[in-house]
Amino acid sequence: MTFDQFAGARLQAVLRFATALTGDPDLAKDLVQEVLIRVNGQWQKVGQLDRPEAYIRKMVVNEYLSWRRRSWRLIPSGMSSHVTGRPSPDPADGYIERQALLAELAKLSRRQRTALVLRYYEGYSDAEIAEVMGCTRSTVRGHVFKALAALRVELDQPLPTPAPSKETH
Amino acid sequence: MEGLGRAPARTEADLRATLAELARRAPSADDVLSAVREAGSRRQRRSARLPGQQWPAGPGRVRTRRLGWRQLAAVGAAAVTAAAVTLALTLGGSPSRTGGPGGFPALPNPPASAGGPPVVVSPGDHPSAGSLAKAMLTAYNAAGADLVYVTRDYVRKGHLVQTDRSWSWPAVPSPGQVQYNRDEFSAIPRGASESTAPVKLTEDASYTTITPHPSVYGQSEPARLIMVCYAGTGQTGCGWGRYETPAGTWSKHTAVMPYIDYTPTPRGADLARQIAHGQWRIVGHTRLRGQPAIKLAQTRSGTFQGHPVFLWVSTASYLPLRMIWGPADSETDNWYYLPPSKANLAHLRVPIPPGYPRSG
Repeated sequence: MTFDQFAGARLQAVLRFATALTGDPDLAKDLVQEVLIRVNGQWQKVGQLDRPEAYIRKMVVNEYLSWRRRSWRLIPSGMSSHVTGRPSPDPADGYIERQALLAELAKLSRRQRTALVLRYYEGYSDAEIAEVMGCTRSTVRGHVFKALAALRVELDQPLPTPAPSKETH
Repeated sequence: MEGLGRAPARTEADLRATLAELARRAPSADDVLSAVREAGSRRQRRSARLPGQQWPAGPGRVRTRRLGWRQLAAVGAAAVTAAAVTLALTLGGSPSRTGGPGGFPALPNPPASAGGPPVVVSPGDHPSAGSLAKAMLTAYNAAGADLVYVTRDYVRKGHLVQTDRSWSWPAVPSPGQVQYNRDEFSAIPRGASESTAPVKLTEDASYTTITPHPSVYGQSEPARLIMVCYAGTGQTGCGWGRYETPAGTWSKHTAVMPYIDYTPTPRGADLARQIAHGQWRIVGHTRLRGQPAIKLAQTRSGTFQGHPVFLWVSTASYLPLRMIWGPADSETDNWYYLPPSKANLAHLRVPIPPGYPRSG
């Protein structure tokens, strides 16, 4: 697969993932852009992988988790960081609830948010999340457990109680 | 732990739906691809520059008071202080971070700074003030969805001392509409000679906000500010309201902020009204930036009494092209109404210089 083939087929999906991850389309664009600039220079290797997209998503996650310790949580509570329209009252309860949930998502730590996005947006298993995030499955469950509790999300099936983790966020 | 023990408020399906909705706000892959390809071929940042003048790629300096000549002429000394505060808040520009140096396509070159009035080539048949005003108002309203690009050059004793480059889209926002703005400010470094030193890029800011109804101007609105404060010209930081960005860094703030009306002034509609009310008189016809234009001079009943002020209006588009205040110490504004194409809208993005850390 050439870089152009990858970009044509999968780049938009990677951008959607990055947007869910960061909560900010502009930051998502920056993240993916920086990753792709690096990838583009070594595409001969990346393109030969079985799943180049998975490799790139992992790079995006790593970039998000480590990018110069930038504060990604500047977003004031109650609003998205991306001004997309006038926040007028909306009679649809679902809309209001989603906005509230977005605001609370923005308050999570980067690792908690990453674990949630990989699990609930990408549908990854704990093992896959652990592989992407470079931590143990127990740690992944810890992140998810704490994040869901903070968001007051009811589980369809209870998570196993995570073992205490020494990792910091 | 927070949330535990309370009645569950949300389900995993809610979370999935919210994340999916968020993902739909993803930017276009084409934009990212363009930047990636440009990054491969681009070595050096190319900033906008004035004809004959090399602009530095990096540093800028402290925000000096951006008081233009016309402000000084228009208000009394007591009002100047207030105007300075207002302007200090007003300066800023628009949306996000681009992946590197020089990602902007070329805009039309600004004309020579504060160059004298163009030669009037023929008197022609002058339209009446009323018909000109009507045509200008119609044109201004029709250009409301355009991107307006404005250059402002301040000259003292024949030497360029400040420049502003600003972009606003839409040019005439409706109440409730998001307006994207960017402002790029250059000035002479602190301590450098005002008579010989060139201006240097000082700050580049973007300001995105929601336009309130005119009756509630003064209120706060959700807004996003991105500020790049350039180092190397003696400044310690760049201020915007309560946000301060140290020199050599960039910052991004999303919050409810006091609304700042960023629409370039004087507005075309204001000019049309002034013309209709006899505050301008037509003095000739000429060509400017390749367009046929009418040259007008402000009458003594105008806003800036006592100072020569000239205005050029395109008779092709009936939009204002240029205004010059003052004979010696002068301010020259140029307006460009541009279609909101992808390339033009790219100018609303503030490039973050390589190596500049985020400070807020």
